[in-house]
Amino acid sequence: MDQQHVLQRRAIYTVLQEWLNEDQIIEALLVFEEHHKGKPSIAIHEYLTRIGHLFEQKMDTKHIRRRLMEVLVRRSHDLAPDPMPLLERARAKTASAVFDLKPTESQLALHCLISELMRKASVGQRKQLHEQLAKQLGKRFVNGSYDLLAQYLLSDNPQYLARFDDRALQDFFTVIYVACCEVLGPVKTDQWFGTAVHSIRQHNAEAGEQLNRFL
Amino acid sequence: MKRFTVLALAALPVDTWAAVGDEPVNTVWLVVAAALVFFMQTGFALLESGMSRSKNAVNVVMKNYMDVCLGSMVFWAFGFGIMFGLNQTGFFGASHWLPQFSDEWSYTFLLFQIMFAATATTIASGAMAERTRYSGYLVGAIIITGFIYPVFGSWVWGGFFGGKGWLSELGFVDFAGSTVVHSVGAWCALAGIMVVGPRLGRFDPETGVARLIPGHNLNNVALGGFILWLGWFGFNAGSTLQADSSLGKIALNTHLAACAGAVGTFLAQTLTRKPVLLTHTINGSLGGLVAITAGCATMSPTYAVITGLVGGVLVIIGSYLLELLQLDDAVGAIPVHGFAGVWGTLAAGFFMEGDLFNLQQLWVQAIGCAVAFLWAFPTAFIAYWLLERLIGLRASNLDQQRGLDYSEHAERGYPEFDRLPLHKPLAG
Repeated sequence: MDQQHVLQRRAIYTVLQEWLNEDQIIEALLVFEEHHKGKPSIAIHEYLTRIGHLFEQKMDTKHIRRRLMEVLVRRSHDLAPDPMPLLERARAKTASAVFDLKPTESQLALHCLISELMRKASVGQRKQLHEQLAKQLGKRFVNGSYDLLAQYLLSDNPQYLARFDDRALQDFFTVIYVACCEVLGPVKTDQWFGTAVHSIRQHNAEAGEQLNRFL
Repeated sequence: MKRFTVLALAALPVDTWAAVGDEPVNTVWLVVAAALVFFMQTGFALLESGMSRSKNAVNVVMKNYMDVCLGSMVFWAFGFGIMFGLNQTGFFGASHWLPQFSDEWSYTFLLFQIMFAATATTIASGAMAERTRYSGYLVGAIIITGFIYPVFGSWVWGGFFGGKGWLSELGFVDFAGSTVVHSVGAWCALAGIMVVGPRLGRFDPETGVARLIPGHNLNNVALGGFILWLGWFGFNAGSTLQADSSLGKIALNTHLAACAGAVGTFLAQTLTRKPVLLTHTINGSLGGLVAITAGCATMSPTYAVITGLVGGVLVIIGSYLLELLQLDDAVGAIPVHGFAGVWGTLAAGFFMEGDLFNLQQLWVQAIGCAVAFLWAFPTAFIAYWLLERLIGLRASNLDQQRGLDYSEHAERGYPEFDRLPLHKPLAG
């Protein structure tokens, strides 16, 4: 069984290199390890669909599955080496990196915006928002990313944002926007959002400009 | 008997048509009427964009604008042939693709019908506003104008170049298109909103209660309502296809029904102790206009008032019904064009002057309404579903957050007043 699992991991690592970059492959493999370990090769379609949603890509899952099946029946020396060491390094980095990195100016500006929005919500609304965010974040972020963002929302500490690139934080803000729409309604959300952005731009024009990349 | 003369015009042979076209006044009237129907697009654009949030206003106007452009091209190239071409089976026309006529009058008729087709198409744009991608929507508009609308139209008004539509053979009466134009457009819109889903946060996720998303410019809504009202005189009175003495009564019925529609809405809102909203009132008058469209030439003014009044009440009931079903119609297009359209078509049979309360006619009218739904809704649903799968119909959450003006067209309707910064490309 272990041998089969290693073979699947190597096959995924081999095939996904054609579609994803290195960071995305690591994330995709972490999803595989966490949620699809031990499942038969025939169930690989479910995994590929999940990966497609994760990276918001219209992946040709049929084609990838066919490629995976081809690769799985090859002799093992045709496959890329086992990416397990890469995964372990990525896990270790996630655990230690939180306090090593410092948030950038733009990340701090985003933090101001999110804090401002959250502060406007009453206790009851914030509870509902967190429930909604838990659902929405779960669909978009997995593994360590989900945990870090959840910790960020609970602690209101910008340190947790430092590990993410602009694209991920843009997604994160959209998730917050959607949750606000669900809980507060679209009209109030746009009003709060507009007021918060306006206020940040009034107090610090540069931070206001920095925000643009996430909106 | 004059009413039957009017109703029968569409089925006259081509040489008789040529005689009608020999009178210059008929050509002048029909071109003016076509221009009035074209002007309705302005009304739709103002009404729908006014009812949308400011961040989506340009997108709504763009859709209306392109509906006319693409719709006209498609209907000219294919739709007209399907709807009015030689109709031997009774189910669709099969001639006059990219039409060339030997007489000038047919070109006038084509112009008028192109404007009608564009109207049917644009109904969906309002209902699906604020969360539908531009490209997907436009492909949907092409399908409606080039296939769904003309096929049904051929069943009722077909046979201009020979043959006759099967619903027309049954005795179905729809003078200017309560069902052919408005209900068909509305059922396509219903399919569209079911596939595309509601706007973000439109319904409370726990209680399912609808949240009001007010439009950004109610003055534009009112102006759009007035312009539509004006255009409707061309829509209904132009459907005589000739300048004769019946125009006055048709225009009067049209006007009275619109007034009664607004009054019906006012009464419905007042009696149920709801606030009397401007948007509902205007939709009420439009409901009255849609309702009278089928029977404007065959009813007395008294029944036109009743038809309009009930149409207005139905707009309110329909709006609440859709909210109850958690269907998000951004501008109330489905109650206005769909529910009021069905009522108007039934009323056209029931209140026909000289043949009042004829149950047999009512039954035929009901068949026509049901057939319109059974044709337009599933066909449009499949088309929109395929579009969602193939090219994507629903705008992403990020695009909805930014507003479709910026994400689809890279411009904003109100840049001076916008508090949100323009998005810049990600770091690079």
